[in-house]
Amino acid sequence: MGDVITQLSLLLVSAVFVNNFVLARFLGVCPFLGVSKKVETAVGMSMATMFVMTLASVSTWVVQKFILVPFQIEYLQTIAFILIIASLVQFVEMVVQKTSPVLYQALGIFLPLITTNCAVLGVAILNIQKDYSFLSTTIHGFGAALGFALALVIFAGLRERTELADVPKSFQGVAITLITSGLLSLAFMGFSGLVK
Amino acid sequence: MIEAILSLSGLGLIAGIGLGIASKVFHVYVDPKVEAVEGALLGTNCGACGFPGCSGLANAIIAGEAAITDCLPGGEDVVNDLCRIMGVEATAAEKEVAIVLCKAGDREAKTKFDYMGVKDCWAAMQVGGGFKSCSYGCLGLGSCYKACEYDAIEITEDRLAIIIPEKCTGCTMCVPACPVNIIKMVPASQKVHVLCSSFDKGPATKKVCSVGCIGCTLCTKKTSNMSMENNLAIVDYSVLDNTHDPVDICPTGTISDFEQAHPLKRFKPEKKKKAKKAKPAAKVKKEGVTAKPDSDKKVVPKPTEGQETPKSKVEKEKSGNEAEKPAKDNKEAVKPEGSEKVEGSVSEKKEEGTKDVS
Repeated sequence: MGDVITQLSLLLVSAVFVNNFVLARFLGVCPFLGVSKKVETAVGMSMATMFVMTLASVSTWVVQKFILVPFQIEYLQTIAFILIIASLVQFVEMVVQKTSPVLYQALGIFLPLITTNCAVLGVAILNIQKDYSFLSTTIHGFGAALGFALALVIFAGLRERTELADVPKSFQGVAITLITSGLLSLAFMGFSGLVK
Repeated sequence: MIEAILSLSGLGLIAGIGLGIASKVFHVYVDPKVEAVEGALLGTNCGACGFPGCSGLANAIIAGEAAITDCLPGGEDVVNDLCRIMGVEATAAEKEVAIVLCKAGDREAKTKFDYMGVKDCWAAMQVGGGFKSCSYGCLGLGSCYKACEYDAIEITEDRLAIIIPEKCTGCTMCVPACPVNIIKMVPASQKVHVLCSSFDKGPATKKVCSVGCIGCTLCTKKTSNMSMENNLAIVDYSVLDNTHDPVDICPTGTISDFEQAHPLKRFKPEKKKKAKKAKPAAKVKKEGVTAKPDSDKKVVPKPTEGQETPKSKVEKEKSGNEAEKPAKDNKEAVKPEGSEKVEGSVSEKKEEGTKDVS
């Protein structure tokens, strides 16, 4: 039992820091660059993504094990997963709108945006590739989302500061943003070797 | 193959049916008016109304927490649309624009020191309350410029922010962006403003700025819509006395007609297009100017002569019909005709020149 817990916590740490989805695997870079102008919106986006990524990991794992594998149609994995994720996001949006209008307002436009986030699809496919168990899948999905949130919020903070900085003319705008994200990625490489 | 098609379409069918049921079960009643109102709003989510986005304002309008005139950038059109949707009569909403109540760039106002730090007004304010000797002066480092989403703010070479009223939508985003707090909202129809925010006493203001309000109270004595408060002249926009009187009265030129005070390129649209044409035209104009030092004097009374000549013709005819008057009349009548032609051509050239330059 203790062994399992250690393993799962290691999996969580590795998903958050070592194999950070954005900075080490380069998945979900679009919202990473697009929604990171303000910390406030970055937090909203992170919350929504965490919600969806965890749920998507679980549901795609179920679909893979009980539909795709028995019918031997694993090659349709991508399209099936996209279908699952898209309808899941829609479903979640409806439920949240009905049950918690406050949360719905807070997440707002970010929920539908996540449908096309490659980090969500990435985590689902990775779970299958690594042949995780149901529990590991859940932890890995949540950890990956946490890593995404961490990167997004840190980067949003950095960008808020570079806004004020006197950036050389040739580096202004997207250039300095990409350089900053590169440096952040470099910093996260320091975690490699922490967990094997 | 068949399995793949069946299982995937089954999956899709389940998801579709599930979503369909969910949309019924978790149906949230949304007032159709909300959608209509949101459709009528601009959809830019600028936040000028103080609600989270256009949908927030739409909800607030339906709930009666906001007025239909609260969408400032939308202006009259949106208000009219909302009137139709809500079945309310329009209350005339005067459009407001933002204005920087400072006229002094680097040339007019003295600076305490050379500021070399971060190019941001808020950062500059941290260093001894700004580099300008006047603590109510525009720092001109562009904090408002960054806040404006409509490109309505220009920063001059003299480090002075100027808001272009034609482009300003009245969204008020620049007002809190100014650390000196000198951006105010004024009615768009008003052109005469006190372009100073200094509460300092006259001598103190005069020492640091050549165009600041020195609190001489001349304007308050001669017009009805000016008043004094904390050593600063204030225009009462509600009093309809929009004459240019205070502009002429003000000894420091603080009170000014905004368009005259800032004759920027914005008041001469399509400058770039015509700039190319202007070069040859400008030469013509110069030639015209150099060639007609004599005719210059004649040009001035030109319009009156032009009006007179037809009359004089008529008079001439009349005089011809009635009786032949002395030759002096005819000479007088003939002379202007000749001079008119010459002047006409000169003035045409001149008009062309001025048009192109502008």
